[in-house]
Amino acid sequence: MTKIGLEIHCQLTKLESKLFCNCKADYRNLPTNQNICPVCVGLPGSLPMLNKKAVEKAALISLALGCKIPSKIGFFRKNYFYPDLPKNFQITQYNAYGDTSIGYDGKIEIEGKEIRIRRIQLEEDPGRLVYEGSSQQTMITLVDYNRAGTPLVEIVTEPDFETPKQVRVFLNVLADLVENIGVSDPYLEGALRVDGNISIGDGNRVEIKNVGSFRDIEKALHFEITRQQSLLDRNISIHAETRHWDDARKITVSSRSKEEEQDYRYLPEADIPIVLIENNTVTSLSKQMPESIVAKKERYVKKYGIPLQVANVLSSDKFYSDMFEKAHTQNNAKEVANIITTDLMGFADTREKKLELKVTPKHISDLADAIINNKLTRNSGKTALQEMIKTGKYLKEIMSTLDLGQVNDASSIEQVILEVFSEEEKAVSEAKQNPDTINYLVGKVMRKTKGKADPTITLEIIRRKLLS
Amino acid sequence: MNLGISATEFIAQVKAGMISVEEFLAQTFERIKKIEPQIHAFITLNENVAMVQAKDIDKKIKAKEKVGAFFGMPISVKDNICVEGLRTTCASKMLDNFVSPYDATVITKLKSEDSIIVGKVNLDEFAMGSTTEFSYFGPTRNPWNTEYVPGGSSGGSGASVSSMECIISLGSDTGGSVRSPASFCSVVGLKPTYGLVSRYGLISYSNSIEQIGPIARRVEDIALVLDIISGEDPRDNTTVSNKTVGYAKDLNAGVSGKKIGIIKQMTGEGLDKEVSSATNKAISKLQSLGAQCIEISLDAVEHSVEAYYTIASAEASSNLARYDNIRYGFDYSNEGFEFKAYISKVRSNFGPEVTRRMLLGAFVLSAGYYGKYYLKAQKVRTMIKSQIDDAFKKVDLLLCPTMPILPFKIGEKVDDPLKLYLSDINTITANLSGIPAISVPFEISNSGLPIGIQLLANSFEEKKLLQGAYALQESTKLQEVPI
Amino acid sequence: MIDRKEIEHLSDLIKVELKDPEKYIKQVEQILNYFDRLDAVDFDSEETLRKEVKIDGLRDDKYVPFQDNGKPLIDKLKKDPNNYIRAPKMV
Repeated sequence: MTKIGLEIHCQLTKLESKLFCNCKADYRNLPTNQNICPVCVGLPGSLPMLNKKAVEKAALISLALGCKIPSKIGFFRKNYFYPDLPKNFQITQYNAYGDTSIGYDGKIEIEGKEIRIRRIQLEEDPGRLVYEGSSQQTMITLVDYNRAGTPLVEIVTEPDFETPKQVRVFLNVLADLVENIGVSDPYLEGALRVDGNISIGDGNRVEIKNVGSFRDIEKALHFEITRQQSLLDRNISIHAETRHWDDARKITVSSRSKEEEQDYRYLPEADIPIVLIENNTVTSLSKQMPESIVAKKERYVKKYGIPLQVANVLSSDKFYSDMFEKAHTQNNAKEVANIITTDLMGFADTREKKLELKVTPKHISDLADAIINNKLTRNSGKTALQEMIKTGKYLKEIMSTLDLGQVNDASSIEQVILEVFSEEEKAVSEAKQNPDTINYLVGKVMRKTKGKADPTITLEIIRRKLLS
Repeated sequence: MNLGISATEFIAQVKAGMISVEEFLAQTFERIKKIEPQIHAFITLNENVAMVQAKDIDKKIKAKEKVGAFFGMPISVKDNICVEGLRTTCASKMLDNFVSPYDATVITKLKSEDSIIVGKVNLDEFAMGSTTEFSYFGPTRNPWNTEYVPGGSSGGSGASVSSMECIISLGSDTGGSVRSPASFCSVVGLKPTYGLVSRYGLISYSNSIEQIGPIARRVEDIALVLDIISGEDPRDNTTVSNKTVGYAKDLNAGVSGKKIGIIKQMTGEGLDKEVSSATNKAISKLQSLGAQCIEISLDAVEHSVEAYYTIASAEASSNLARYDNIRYGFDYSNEGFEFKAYISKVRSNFGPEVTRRMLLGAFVLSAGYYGKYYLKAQKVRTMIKSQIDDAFKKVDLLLCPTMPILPFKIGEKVDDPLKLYLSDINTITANLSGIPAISVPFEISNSGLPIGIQLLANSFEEKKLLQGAYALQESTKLQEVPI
Repeated sequence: MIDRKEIEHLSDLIKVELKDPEKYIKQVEQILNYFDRLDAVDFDSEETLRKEVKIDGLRDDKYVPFQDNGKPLIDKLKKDPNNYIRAPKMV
């Protein structure tokens, strides 16, 4: 049996300042080592000042993952030397002497499977290392501490996954979740990072580190399963070790095990007091907790009659479900959901495209209303939406400049049908024999009216004419 | 000009125009230059800046502009407290050329009251030691007899105040580091309640127990400084808001009717004879002033030395990890080195005491030993605090000699760490339990060496403590420092 | 029991090359033996002397850049012309 567990590092990107100082939490795109202060570069004499909101956001993640929150939390020092750690220890949380990390014993259901969360801890992100030099002799390490001390939440699962696919599904759900509750932007480079551990049969546990992206963890796990299985098949035992994901070669590579034999000498961080998490804090955080993705999906189905498939897609995308919430009325909800999921999501599917999107909830709302009031066909709706995306113009203007108004008076449609009948004698006689081919004629009418003819009325008239 | 005046006297005389700050500072530096070759209290002097500040303050006084409460009082600062723009070395090769880019909170506060920093003073490397012999820059000598140690780790603070190189000094006290030099140099030294004074800018050695504390020649000067440096600081999350306003007020309230507990474990066996008789004399003095003295037993202190050194070593091994010479430190290129080889090499520049404590710290924290050492040591702290709380239900103050022994010769115990550790027995209780304690000069031995008496109060009862210390100070008249 | 191997392990943990390991073996052993007096401590309490704060007592989440007379902190540290800190190689 395959057992996979995960350690996910999630940056709290929605904060203004770092975990223990007033430097910017958003370290991205800043000039090298310009987002630092005595605290985050660990200058002698500096002390950590714990960020209140970071504790709250970490508690929010814990609640969302069904974790228990202890009445008191504490911080520990994890001692090891590394150039990206300015103090040569990391301030983190640790549960060896009582439960003092912000969350523990949680669970979340993924496609009917329960994944247990062992603990959730708040900690500081190290700086970033850049390696320079071509050969081992000339190699040096350059350090940028802009990221050092940014708030990070580590989520540790029990080894409850059985397949890499389950892992992928879980990670997608988790990414949607942290975005939905407003703690992190999972699409930012490095905002969500994942390490795994995997064992097969009675084999020892192997840790996989250094996996850059979500896609790669699945690949790394697949690789490990194959590697470990082939060892087992040859009766070679698997030893406990840490392996690094080699992104270039797409394989895992054994780290020299002696170096990994770490004794972190955990020590309570006396510079940070014990923080009391009172019941009313938890209650008020629970109240702030936005509707879960599952609850949202159910509401879409039950309240608006949106098809399950559509509701699924819409509810798990924070950007588009937010747009839906602003655009819809009880009346047009189904159409709004339809426009967003079938047309808009295809146009703007990346973070950058979403940020640049000129389409607002009002655009979508207008469009949906026009369609359900038969002022616009679905087809013309698509054209209008494209124009909105391109220009940001509102529907009214687009309809008059592009002449998209739906033609729904029977006599003008009949006029066009007569033209089509005279041009397509063969098709007409065929349709009289076989009503299944009638759509060809409808299509011709649509082309002539540039898609503006009301399809229901068009069909009805053609049927009547064919019978006469 | 008398450089030996108290802080209160200095302020009064400057205010009254009797002395100019510039002149006082000029004479101070003259004295420093004259006696430093014998004492070696200073690591760095700040003469140029100090003299400019002195002139500035004189001008302000003349122009009747607002001047801070300290009116240009010369102070020295232990070299493990950050002062912006000044070298802050911790008496270590590792920080030999580290110039702090910021002020410790206590420095910001003292500067805003127009104190003048004359320089940074010597200490045992990273404040680990009780003799100031473990300094990269060489030992400080006791102004009462330069063959002898001045105590430590704030030996530079004690010696500079005692020998009138400044009026006040800031030290730090992790296991007695303010009180030991106060006792050995015949000056007053206070370790405040943990959390009363901000540690922001104090370079950590054992961060769960250490506090910045003032050293002065008079108890009333200590109160004055405490008024300024105490209080909650957003930059130090361990500070609390229990500050009493006006420590300097009603200092002469006396001890009449007060109950004073004599700590059995710290006044009995093992005391030097002269220390013991000085202690008995202090007790009778206080009794004659109307205090009631009773014996108090704190049997948990039997474990205080091992608990203290377990915690201090553990925290030191972590706090000193950051000194890897990569971001700051002395000049030694890392080009061509592998990371671990480089840092192990540069870190071999730590002195022997610091190295010993880091080794001990690594051992007691390593996997499997945490419960045996560190957790047990924490239990000792709780146990001591609970016995102290019980004691303070019966008494107002506790008393014992600050040091069980007289100052000893430089070099005498430098190779016997355990023996040195054991001489901290009377001071570490206050650090482990967080309570305030003060050392008051009380007697000079037949051999001409100072003896200090320690008073302890419950947490945040500095006011009561200072009143007791003042009474003790006023009960005796000591000879002047011979230097 | 502290022997050569143990002292080397400890010196590796604290990353300090020991010039005179023998001296440290003796001293560390002697002090640790003294620490063993902690074994006799029999005091059962979950209490600690650590300060406790309510969540509202923590720092507000605000960005305030570090200012040192308008100069960035990196200018005070060891850095290369591109403002990176140079560390030894990590092989």
